[in-house]
Amino acid sequence: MSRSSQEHHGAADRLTILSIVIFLLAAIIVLKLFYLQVVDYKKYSTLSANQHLVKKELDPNRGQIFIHDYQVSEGASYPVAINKKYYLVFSVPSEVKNPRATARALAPILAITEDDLYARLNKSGDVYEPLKHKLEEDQKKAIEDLKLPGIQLTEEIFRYYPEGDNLAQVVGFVGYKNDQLVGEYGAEGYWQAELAGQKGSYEFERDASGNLIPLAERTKAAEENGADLVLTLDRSVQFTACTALKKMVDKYGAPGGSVVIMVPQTGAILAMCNYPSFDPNNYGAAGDANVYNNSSIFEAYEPGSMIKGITMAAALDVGAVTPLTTYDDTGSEKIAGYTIKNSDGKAHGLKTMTQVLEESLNTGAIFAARAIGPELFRNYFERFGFGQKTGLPLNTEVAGNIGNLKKDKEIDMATASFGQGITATPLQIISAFSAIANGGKLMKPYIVDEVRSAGGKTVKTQPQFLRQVILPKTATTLSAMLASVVQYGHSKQADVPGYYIAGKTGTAQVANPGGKGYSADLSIHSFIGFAPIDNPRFVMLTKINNPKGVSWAESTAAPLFGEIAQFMLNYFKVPPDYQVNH
Amino acid sequence: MTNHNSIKTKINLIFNGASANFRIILFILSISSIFTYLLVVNHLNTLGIEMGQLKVKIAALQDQNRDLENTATQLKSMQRIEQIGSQQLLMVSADNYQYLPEASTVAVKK
Repeated sequence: MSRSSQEHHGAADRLTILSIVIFLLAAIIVLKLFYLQVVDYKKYSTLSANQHLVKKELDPNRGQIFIHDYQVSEGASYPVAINKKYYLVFSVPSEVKNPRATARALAPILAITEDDLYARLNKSGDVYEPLKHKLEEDQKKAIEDLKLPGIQLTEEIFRYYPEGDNLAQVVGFVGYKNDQLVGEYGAEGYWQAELAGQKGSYEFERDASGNLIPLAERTKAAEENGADLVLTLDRSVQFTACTALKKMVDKYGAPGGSVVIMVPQTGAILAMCNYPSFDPNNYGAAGDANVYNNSSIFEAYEPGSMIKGITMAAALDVGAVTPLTTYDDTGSEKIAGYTIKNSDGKAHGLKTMTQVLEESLNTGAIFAARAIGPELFRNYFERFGFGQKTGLPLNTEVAGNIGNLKKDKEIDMATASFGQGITATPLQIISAFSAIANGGKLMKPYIVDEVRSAGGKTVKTQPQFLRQVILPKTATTLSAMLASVVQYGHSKQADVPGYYIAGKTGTAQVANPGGKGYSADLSIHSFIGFAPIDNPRFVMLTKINNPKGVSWAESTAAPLFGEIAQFMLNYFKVPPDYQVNH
Repeated sequence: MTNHNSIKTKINLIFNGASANFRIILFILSISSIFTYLLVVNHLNTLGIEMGQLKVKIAALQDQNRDLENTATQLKSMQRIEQIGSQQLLMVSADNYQYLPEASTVAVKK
């Protein structure tokens, strides 16, 4: 082979090798591109989108909660749960020049110890250290005036309850649940979805420096603000009821109590107050979480002698007794091997049904119940709504228990006839007596008067008639009998001079926790009543749990009723039924 | 033949003149359209910015309104009124009152 031929071959080989190398490189590039654009398309597409697409959540304003303020005008309302602007103070520790001096200056404003603040300000390399939430305007100004390097403030919105503990258990509060602020207990909990509204979103493209690209595509799904609620409660009535309740509970060293006031013709609740309560602005300080529950709907108890009113309603309604029907009170009744006595243990001789209520005779209640029998007795209790939730739109309502009556046994009927062996919530009791005050018509209790959506639509709750429980004639007769109880019986302290008031006390024994029988020391004092009897403006239940130094509800729950009733009758400008000579 | 040519030349001249005028008019119209477009776009942008500023103002006023309403609510709270009434103004509740008949003359004694 000639030299030129060898050179030619050598060049051809090099070209071939180069071609192969170029081909391989091209193949690698094509494969890589295929891998990037086809196999890993989703991954890189998402990465790219995340880099230049920004999606922001738009938080809606939480709906506010109002109550009525009839003292101002018929349509006036007052906010009891609002969204308030606070400030968050935070530090950028890397910018804080003198952590010790900064901590010393901030400590008295933030009410945090200097050493604690110093430890948080002295974190080198930390770029964000929140120091305190919920600062008020004056605190914010005081911090700004200090002009401390590395200390910054930002606005934040939190729920605020201007009436404090007066409405805490009805309104509830907004608290943290899995890092989200959500309504808990009361109206805040039950109406969480409506109050919270719908979150919106805003999606836009940003440039390399992070700024919005004006002409690029952007999408916005507007947030939907939460609906406002208007409760049926009246501000002045609620405040008066809560203040009077607190005073009475403190006076007798009782651990708690409740007051519920309702309009019998509609079922609207005017006041619902429990003590002890808590400050929803600082709910964490309450200590016992049980205090968050609204005991007017959450705690079912054996109501005691108030229930004699219901027993009498049933017996009168079927015509088994009249107010003048008599029986011979021997002081006790023997049923199924048990002896049931009057609360005073005495025999009272011949007594009318009106006197049974006036003197709160257990044997008389048993007489009336026996006159109709267990089946009818149970039927009336069910028709009055006992043993079923009222459906009040608040969290934590319980149904009470009248399971004993379902056995249709005489002994269970006998104990239930004076309020033992069955349980009911204060709301169930007031609802049942509202039917008596309302000519026998049972109305569904309600506490939310209006729901005002952010779009301007208002849904007003219409009073809901449930059923005619007793005849109007029976209701009138029983009202007169209950008025006699206040005039001449064991409830004189519930009286408001000038008005005919119907009512009944209840001093209920408390079952031994975990054991048989009843406690010798504990009792729940209640009073249920309405006024004025010819056209009742309100029905009210007052309840004091385990008061000390007093034996009967006549000394505790009855005067509490009288005090609040006097205010109510004046507040609603109800003219007196008769002239009182002072 | 010469006449015919001169007529043709004249027609050409007329057409050429008209074409030149048309081009000038077209040019002027194009320029003015561009300027009008720029003016409109500029104006729209300005209005957009103004609208944005107004929206910010509305939001700020709404916030201010909310804060003022909240302050009013706090000042009207029952606890505060009760405190001022009983501690500062020393007010007491009326314990003796009488309803007066509507259609009669009454005298009030102090």
